[in-house]
Amino acid sequence: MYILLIEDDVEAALFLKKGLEGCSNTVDISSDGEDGVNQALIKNYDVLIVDRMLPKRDGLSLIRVLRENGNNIPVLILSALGEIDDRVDGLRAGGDDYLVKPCAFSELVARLESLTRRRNTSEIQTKLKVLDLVINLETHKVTRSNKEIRLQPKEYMLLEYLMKHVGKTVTRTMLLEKIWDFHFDPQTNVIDTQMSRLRTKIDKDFDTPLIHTIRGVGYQISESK
Amino acid sequence: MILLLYTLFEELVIKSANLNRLFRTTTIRLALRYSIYYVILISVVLAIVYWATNNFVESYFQSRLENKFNELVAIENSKGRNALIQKIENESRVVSDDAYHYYLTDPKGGKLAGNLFNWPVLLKINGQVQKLKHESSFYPEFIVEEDEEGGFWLMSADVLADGNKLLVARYIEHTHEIKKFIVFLMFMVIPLSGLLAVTLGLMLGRTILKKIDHINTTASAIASGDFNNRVHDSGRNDEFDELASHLNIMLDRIQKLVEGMHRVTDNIAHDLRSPLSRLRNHLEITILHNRNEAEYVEAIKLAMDDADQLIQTFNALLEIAQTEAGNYRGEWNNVDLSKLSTDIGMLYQNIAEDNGIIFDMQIDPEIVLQGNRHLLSQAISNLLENALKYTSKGGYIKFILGYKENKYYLCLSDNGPGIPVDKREFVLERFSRLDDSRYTVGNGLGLSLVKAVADLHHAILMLSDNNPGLKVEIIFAKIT
Repeated sequence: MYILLIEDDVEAALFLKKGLEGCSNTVDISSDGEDGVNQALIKNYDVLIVDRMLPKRDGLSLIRVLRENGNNIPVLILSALGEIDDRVDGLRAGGDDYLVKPCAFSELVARLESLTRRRNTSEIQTKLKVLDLVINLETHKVTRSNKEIRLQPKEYMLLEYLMKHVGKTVTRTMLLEKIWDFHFDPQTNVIDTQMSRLRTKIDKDFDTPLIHTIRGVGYQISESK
Repeated sequence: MILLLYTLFEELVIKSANLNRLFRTTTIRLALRYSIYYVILISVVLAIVYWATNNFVESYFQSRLENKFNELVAIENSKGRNALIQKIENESRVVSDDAYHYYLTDPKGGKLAGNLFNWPVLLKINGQVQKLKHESSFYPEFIVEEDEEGGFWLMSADVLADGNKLLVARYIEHTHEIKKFIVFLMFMVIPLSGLLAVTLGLMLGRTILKKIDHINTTASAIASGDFNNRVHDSGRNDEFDELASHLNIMLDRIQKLVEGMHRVTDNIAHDLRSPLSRLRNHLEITILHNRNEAEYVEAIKLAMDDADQLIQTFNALLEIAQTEAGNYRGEWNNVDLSKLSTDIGMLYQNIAEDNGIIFDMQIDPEIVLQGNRHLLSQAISNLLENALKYTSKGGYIKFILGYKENKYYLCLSDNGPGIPVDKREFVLERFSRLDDSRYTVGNGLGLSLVKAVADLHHAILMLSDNNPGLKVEIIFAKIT
């Protein structure tokens, strides 16, 4: 991915750049809001990482300017302001996702990949398929090897989300947020339990396991690990 | 009365040190202003009284005069001219200032009868009662005191059926008396009442000043840090007591906030310091000796876990502090509590089943209330986590959302070890944990957040014995 990171804390910015480039990304850094806007408008990035507290122009204002100029590049807001109110403000300003510092690096990467993935599949699809697992987005019917599988509503949403991110890792936090709209941090692994139940229905009676656990990060659905 | 006023004044003069301040009060300014209004009002009232009385008396005499005239005309009409003359001569024998005066002439103006000396030149002969000033030619012996003003004649003259002209008159002198009286009244009453108004104003000002002084003193004491002060309530339930009670409520709140702030900083200092030290120690120990790569990797992973735990604790502390402050900045709108509870419940139900715990959920539908979805979800999650943590295999957890006495009611009960009665307040304090749970995962902030969220939503949190186990109840405010 071609990433623009707009962050005024030089050390933090370099650290992130190093980490992201270690995952085969290209990262440009901008240290203030004005420069950030200009860079974003000129070059063709895949995704932006924007800190809220910036000199010259704050993060949200930066995003608003981009949106007003018709620029719909995906933006991930990275902020020390973590109240639920702040999150809502960020998303309303035009941001696509919101992470609170400090956050796990793996979480950041997973979310960046999710944002860029969204870009590519903007055509309307009615069916999603991984190997012999097929789901119909309109009827919510799920089959594997043409055998129908009955899923509870939340289980279906879980599976659909995984399949929309096929091949990419999604974190537990992402799942809790996107599917349940919960922003709290459960101590016990509520997501893991849900996932194991889903696995039982999707993978157990079949040859190839499709749902994989990525240690320390989250889950992924794909044909092979 | 004068004596009373004088002693009042003396008292005030003795306290002249305060007098200056007294005069600066709004009350005294208002009192003075209203005294002036009052004086003007009294003057206007007296003037109206004067005018009204005058008019009344005049029209009274006027109608009496008309009656008299008609009486005489009737006599002439019924009994003839001579009877009229006789009547006039009879009546003329009455000599008094008040008496009626008459003048009867023939068509050519020759006097026929009457006790007026001359026919008044200015009098119009039209049967209308008119006012005329006295002239010595009317009645030369008529005594009119020289300094009298306001006295005048009421006269009426008309042509009779036979062409004779009849005049009836009366001298009115009362007006002057009335005027003198009214003026006297004004000179007496107005200054007296003005004085009284000012005195009352000063007394009122002093009373109010005393009350306000008390409030000011209390406020100053509090401003310099003594939060235990409260404004005195006189128990009379008047507007000052209302003010006092509101101020006291405000002060309670400020005290609570300040104490809350102290608690937070204490907590941060004490309770984050330990894990931070622990983290540092672990890292330091690791560096102390040569280790192999695997050991370093392990140490780093543990350090990250410690750091994550710290972050979580810190976030939770922040959330509790904000929620306790009561002005959580988050969204406040309609929350579908039924859906929320069901969603969270089902998440934990799965875990419960995996652990061999029976999870019974009874959620009434369509329970919606005003609140913050995030906080409510966090609170419910905390309660469920606690229940799961303390209930062993084979136990049960019951989660109810419904109504109790027309209020929304949430109840979570388990048959775990429960909380002893004497520890129930304690667990709501931050970082408290019952002894045997010291080694389980969690930062001990769960229940204190639930309490803060309940308070914010004006709900009551109750912990009780489930015989066995713990029963947590949250009772929300009355459904409107």
